[in-house]
Amino acid sequence: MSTLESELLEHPFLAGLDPTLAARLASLTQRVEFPAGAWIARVGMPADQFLMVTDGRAGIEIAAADMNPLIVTTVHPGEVLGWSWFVEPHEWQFDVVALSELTALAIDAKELLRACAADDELGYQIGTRLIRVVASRLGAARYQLMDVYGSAR
Amino acid sequence: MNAIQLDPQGGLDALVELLLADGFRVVGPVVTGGVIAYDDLSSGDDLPTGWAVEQAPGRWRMHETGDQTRFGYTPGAASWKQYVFPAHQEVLRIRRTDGSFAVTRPPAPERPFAFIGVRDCEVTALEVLDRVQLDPDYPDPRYAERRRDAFIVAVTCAVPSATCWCTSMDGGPVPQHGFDLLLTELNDSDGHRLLAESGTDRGAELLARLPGSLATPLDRSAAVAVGAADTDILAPKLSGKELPTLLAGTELHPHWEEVADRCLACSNCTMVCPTCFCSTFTDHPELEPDVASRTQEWASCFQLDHSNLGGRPVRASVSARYRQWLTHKLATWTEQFGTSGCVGCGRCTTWCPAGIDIVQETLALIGPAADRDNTDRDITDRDITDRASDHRDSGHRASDHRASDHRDSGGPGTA
Amino acid sequence: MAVLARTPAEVGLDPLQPEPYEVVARVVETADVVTLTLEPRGRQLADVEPGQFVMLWGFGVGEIPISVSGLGPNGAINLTVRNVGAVSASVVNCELGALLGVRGPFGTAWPVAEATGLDAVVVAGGLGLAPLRLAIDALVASASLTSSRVTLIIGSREPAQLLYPEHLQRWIDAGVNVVVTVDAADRTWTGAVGTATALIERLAEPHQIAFVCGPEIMMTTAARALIASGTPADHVYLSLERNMHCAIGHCGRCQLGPLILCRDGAVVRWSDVGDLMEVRQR
Repeated sequence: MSTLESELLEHPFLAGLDPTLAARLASLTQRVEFPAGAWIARVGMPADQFLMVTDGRAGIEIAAADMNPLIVTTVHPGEVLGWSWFVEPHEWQFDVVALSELTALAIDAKELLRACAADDELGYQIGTRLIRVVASRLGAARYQLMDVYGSAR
Repeated sequence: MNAIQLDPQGGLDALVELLLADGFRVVGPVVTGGVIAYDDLSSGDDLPTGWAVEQAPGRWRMHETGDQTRFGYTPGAASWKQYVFPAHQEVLRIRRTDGSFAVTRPPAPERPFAFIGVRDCEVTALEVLDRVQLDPDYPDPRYAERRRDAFIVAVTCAVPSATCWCTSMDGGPVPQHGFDLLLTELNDSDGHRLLAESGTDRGAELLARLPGSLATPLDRSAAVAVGAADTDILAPKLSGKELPTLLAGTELHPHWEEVADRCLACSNCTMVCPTCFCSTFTDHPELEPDVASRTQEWASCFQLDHSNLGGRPVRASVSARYRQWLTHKLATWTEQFGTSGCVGCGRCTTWCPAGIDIVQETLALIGPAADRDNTDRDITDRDITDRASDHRDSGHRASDHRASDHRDSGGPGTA
Repeated sequence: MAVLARTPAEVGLDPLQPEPYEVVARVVETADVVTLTLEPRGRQLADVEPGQFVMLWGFGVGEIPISVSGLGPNGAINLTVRNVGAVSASVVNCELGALLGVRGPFGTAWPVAEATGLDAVVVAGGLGLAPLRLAIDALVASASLTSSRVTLIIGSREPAQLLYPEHLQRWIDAGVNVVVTVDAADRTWTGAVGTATALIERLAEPHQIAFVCGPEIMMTTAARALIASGTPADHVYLSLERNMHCAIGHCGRCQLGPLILCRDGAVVRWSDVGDLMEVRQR
């Protein structure tokens, strides 16, 4: 088993995946590094990589002309960026910045999508894991929206 | 227990006179403002004569009978609670001096109370209230002062009303305990008379001074018959002891919403209840500089602000407030204070302007006895969970407001 | 005999009577939160256990329940108060030397003895850190003796709203694993952004005992996440607030099902209250 293969299987996102599927993913994967402050993704740009963070910290950031840029979620080792690659229009929906030096396993999103479409089992495995991420982010967003620590309204 | 028989007129006159002479503040039922209420007595004449009462959900009417019956009615809205736990009282007055507080309390009553005409449900109600106000950890000194040495002249309840349900709540027409004297009014072939029995040493001591003749065994059996006859009228409608178990897990029952459609959330039931103890404290700065007072008033779990947290009510819907009242009264009270909060007096039903009947609502929640089949078996947590999920499955959902309403400012440390 | 045994003298102290406490220090924590240090000028309160609360009286205004967040010399107590109503405004804005009324302490305490030797996690949301401060100190003290681990998870609205930075540093220095998350931040923030629940899921550690205090929504989601991570449901403790009006179980306003929270709380087990907290009341 290659180092990349075992790293992929050690990442919580792929925990429990059939090693033969991991071997196929390894051929689409490369290790990437971002210095602190670097853009990992920009809103509207093609989401051509699926990033599984192994070290460092990323921030999902929202900015507009009439407000200061605001980080709404941080992404930590063992978590992923993101799910935009999986669905049309395959563009990043948020800005993502490296808040520290960050390393990740980057899977070629176009190839992964093609592989998922061709292999029901792989598609199912990746799809359910992504849904888990989306559900967790959506739940957190709902609770954050409530501003529970603010004064009662 | 000593027993004598008294002439209804002369006996009651003497009773009130002796209690007054012994230094009691004598209180009993009087006819005033078209109802029977409780007030200070200066003689036995102040007690009603020849009145009967008709009660039904949302209805209380009294009428003259034309005879000399002294206790032929059921009580009105008033209860003895108002004497031991006044509806409004100053609890403290604090003067802020240089670096300290000078605290004063309104003086204790000069005379202990003597309550005349206390029904079995009312004796029990006082005992229920005692458990709350005189709990071992924080006995309320004001309540203790008012309750202390209260002389209880109980009376056998000769004429139960349609809203009475004391036999469902472990009570009955004949008080068994908690009195100094017990009066039973008899009117049969042997004539109109009161049988008086003592329940305490001081009751016996007073009995010895009353102008009566020794009661015969026949009188005693006649008195017991009065109670027994009424017990037949008052067949238990449900088993109060089982209610904590039967009501557990009914939180999502659709019937709460059904009652809420009729309930006005007016608080009448809690105000007339002889055991409801909820109250509110209010602080007032006095006109005099550096003096503040605190008052206590009866409150009700039907008031919107009763459950306020962070400036908004926890129990906002009427169904939630009705559920709080009924389940507290009939179920959770037992866990809190060791007795049911209900004595079955029926006041809440009689004085409900919407005629909501606590017994009927309870039966609707727990279902008919035939469907229950758990009279003698222990209910497990599993059963309760199952029952709760049954109600959930019934499709009922509370109104769908934003979940953010649940937010508070973060534990008791957070104002 | 229907005679009550207790005379007023036997009843003793009036449980409704506040004792005079002088404001000797006042620290502004955030825009609307102040921590007061109060010293007794009359009778001193009985010993306060971590998590217990007092009734704080603004002279002639009213009373509010406040958990004791710290203890000091000369019988001093620390109370952290958010300015949200008439009473809290009068208390938060009072000057040094002002005389406030205090009675208590009331209610249950965090089971710090039960936590001795256990891997403990403390989850604090917003002002929920205040009722936990004494408990964290106690856990730190016992952890140093038993080499057990203490984790502190803090959720806050934003970095500027974080309470007690000097205590946080003290706990970090004492070996507590302090992790902080906020609802939103700019890039100067070095902690996490997201919910406390997300942090619990990220740590994914089966703590043996948990103390949780914060907004009710945060407590329920945190409790579920802790249990999912392996903490036993009867070892998850919460501090609940309701309308504590008298604090002595007589006014009926702080009920939650069978619980009278001024007496049976504020600290309760999740396994005893979780179902009750989920019943819709509106």
